[in-house]
Amino acid sequence: MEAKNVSLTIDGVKVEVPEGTTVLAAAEKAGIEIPNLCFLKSLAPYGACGVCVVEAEGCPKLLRACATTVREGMVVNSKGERALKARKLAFELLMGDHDGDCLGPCKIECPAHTDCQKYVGEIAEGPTARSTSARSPKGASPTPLRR
Amino acid sequence: MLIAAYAIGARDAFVYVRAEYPLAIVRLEKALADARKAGILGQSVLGSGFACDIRIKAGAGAFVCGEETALIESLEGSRGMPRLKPPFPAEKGYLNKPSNINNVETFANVAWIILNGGAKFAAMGTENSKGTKVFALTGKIRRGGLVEIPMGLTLREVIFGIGGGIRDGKRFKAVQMGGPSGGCIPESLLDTRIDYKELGATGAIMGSGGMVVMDETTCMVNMAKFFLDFTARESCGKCVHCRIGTRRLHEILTRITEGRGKEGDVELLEELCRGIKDGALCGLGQTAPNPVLTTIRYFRDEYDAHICERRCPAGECAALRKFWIDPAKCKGCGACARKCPVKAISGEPRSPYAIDSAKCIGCGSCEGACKFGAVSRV
Ligand code: FES
Repeated sequence: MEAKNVSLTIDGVKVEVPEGTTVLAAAEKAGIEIPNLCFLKSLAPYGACGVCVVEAEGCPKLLRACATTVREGMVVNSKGERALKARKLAFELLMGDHDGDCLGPCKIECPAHTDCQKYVGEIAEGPTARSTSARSPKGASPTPLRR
Repeated sequence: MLIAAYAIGARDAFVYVRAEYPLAIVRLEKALADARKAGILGQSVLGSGFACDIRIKAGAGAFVCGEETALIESLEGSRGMPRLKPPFPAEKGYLNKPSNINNVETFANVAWIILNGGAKFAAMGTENSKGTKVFALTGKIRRGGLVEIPMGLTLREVIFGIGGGIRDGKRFKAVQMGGPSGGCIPESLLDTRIDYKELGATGAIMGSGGMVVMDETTCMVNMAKFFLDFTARESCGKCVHCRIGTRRLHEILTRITEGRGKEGDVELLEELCRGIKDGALCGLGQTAPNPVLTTIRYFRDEYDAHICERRCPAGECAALRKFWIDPAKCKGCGACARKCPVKAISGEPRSPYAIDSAKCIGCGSCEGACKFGAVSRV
């Protein structure tokens, strides 16, 4: 049996993909990048991070692009204000909760410019207030929710 | 339940009960054993040739397991975490088989409707919400307990009629509707009818059918904090908005109740609440901000008093309470000084004692210790 094709519009671009494709994959085919974090091609979608949310016409909720399969005639907006806001919040929450709990010693430079070794060392020594300042010396860690 | 099983042709049925309710489990087990003996359950239900049995699954009592897909995960023996929908349980539910999942109350209604007819059921209630609903009436109410009422009664009728009003002659302040993730409704909206649509318009939900009545001594900020503490703990941790977002909400509320609130905190709370509602994966996260949003909506002045004046109008937040000893009433017995955990009270026997407000932590031990009513709140 040949798979049926479904056509949809993402950010004004028309694409045709086989039935059962996710919005994320369809966007990729259309050359549109939808940010994602917890999605891994070889695994089933988990849908936890909420970074990949998009808006769809006629749908009251935000959709997780990595886990939503396409429907015929769907009109997706991946850059709507609401989606961008939710995406930003998801990332902000994630990064704001990142207390240098990654595995050291760091092999690559930390994207949040955090001196983790110093940070962890200072926690061990005592005052957490000081260690928090060591965590993001350049203020690059998006932690406004900790303000 | 059997009717539903017969209608969809299911052989296996489960009742999911919290393991913390042993009495319910004992009673259910007895009912099931009796039903089996009477031939209502088993290989041939009432001799019809239709086979069906009901089993009990005792869950570990996680709040999130009230979410249908999380409940199914738990039923299968996994951690109770919601699945992505679609596919809905009707397509892929228990063991990935099409499943029908409903609340016990819903099933109980089905039998009644079949016996008495749909028209009779629909005759009760309002245009949007038909029939009856069970509520758990608790809090500062004279007569609490489970009540089944026809939809469309007003909140006032339930609280002051059935519940008999507020205990100890206090004033009604608000009612938290729909459990920990419901919303609170102030006195001005007490004439709201119990109806899905009308309740929804107030920001509360029907939810689990919980109705917690609060009087004037309840601080609304503290109450929101209490419920957020619960949801933050009960969050299964799968999605970011709920796991981290509720924790941040709780942190902000905590600092407000402790007198460390900052200007703009209320706006921050609102922004975060809306974001969590929008981004969370399941019902728990999508409704968890409700207590915060509704208390801000109806009791904004209390938030402002905590933040700007470092004052808790209801006098509940310990960090913001200050006590005072009336020298005219104090007999100098020293009972309060002995009870004070931080030694903030000093004085000589038989002359009035005094509280050092710099040391006082507002715990209220002295108030309880004084036999002469000399300690009061400032
Ligand atoms: S990539 Fe994480 S929810 Fe879609």
